[in-house]
Amino acid sequence: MNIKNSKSSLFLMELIIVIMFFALASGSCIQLFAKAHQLTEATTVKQQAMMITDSVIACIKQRPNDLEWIASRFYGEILEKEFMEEKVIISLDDSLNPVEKNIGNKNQKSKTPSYQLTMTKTNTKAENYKIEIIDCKTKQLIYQQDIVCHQAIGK
Amino acid sequence: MKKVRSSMIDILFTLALFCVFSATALGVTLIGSRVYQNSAFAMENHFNSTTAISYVKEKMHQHDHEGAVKVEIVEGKQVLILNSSLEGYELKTMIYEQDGFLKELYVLKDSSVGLDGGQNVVPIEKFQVEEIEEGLFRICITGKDHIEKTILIGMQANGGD
Repeated sequence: MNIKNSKSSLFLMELIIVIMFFALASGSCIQLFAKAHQLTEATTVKQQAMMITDSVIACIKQRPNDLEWIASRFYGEILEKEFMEEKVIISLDDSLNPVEKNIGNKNQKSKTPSYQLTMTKTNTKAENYKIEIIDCKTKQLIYQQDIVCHQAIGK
Repeated sequence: MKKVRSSMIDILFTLALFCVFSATALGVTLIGSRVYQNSAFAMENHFNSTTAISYVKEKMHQHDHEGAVKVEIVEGKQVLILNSSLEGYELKTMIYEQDGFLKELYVLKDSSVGLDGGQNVVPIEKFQVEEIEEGLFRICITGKDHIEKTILIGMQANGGD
């Protein structure tokens, strides 16, 4: 009777130990899965950030001094000029597409931006542009690119 | 009677514990496979659409000279036409979407080869291109995941300052 009881509790102990190890292993596995998922999402966001930055750069190259035109292409707004800096703010949605503002239609709810693109133009010897994309919720910098436009001689 | 009952409870408890263990193991495996499936699907679509965009972008930059890049409607489809010349021959590269693929057709400028003769590049759902102003093109590519990706491409020879 005693032997049978001891065998049963031994088996139970073994099972509990196995389950404990399994719980630890599955816990770390789930953490890894979550990390993999986050990494995939972050990569997608970064790729889309690169694409919108490329589009902004294409517009800068097209009309280097026309900030109003660049801002209008992406439904952005120009902030007040500060010393040698001019800023354009572009609101972006979850897929990093520019968010269109509902001008003149107050009843219609406008989309809340998830990301924000800031283009800063500094006028020094050459025209320096700094493009930054931040996550509006975490205020984390997603992507950043600096470009310099040199004026061609004679232009 | 008491012994039998205690033994039954022992067996049932062990069995229940084993069932919980099996169910959780199955759950973890399912979560793992789902995460892997989603990642693989996202990566494949991401690869296809970014490859298509990079491909079109590089092709356009390769043909960045006066009047070389045009958008035309051929056989009812929006086609990006890139003109070039080689050893005295006038050639054109046509980029378009057909049968769920981004296709490329490289022929003589006055050739009568139809769009069916193009080579498959990558699978996509939709390809749209428009010249929004001189030298600035908007390319929209919808991948197989139905997500549309848009990029603006500026041609320096056609109008960029």
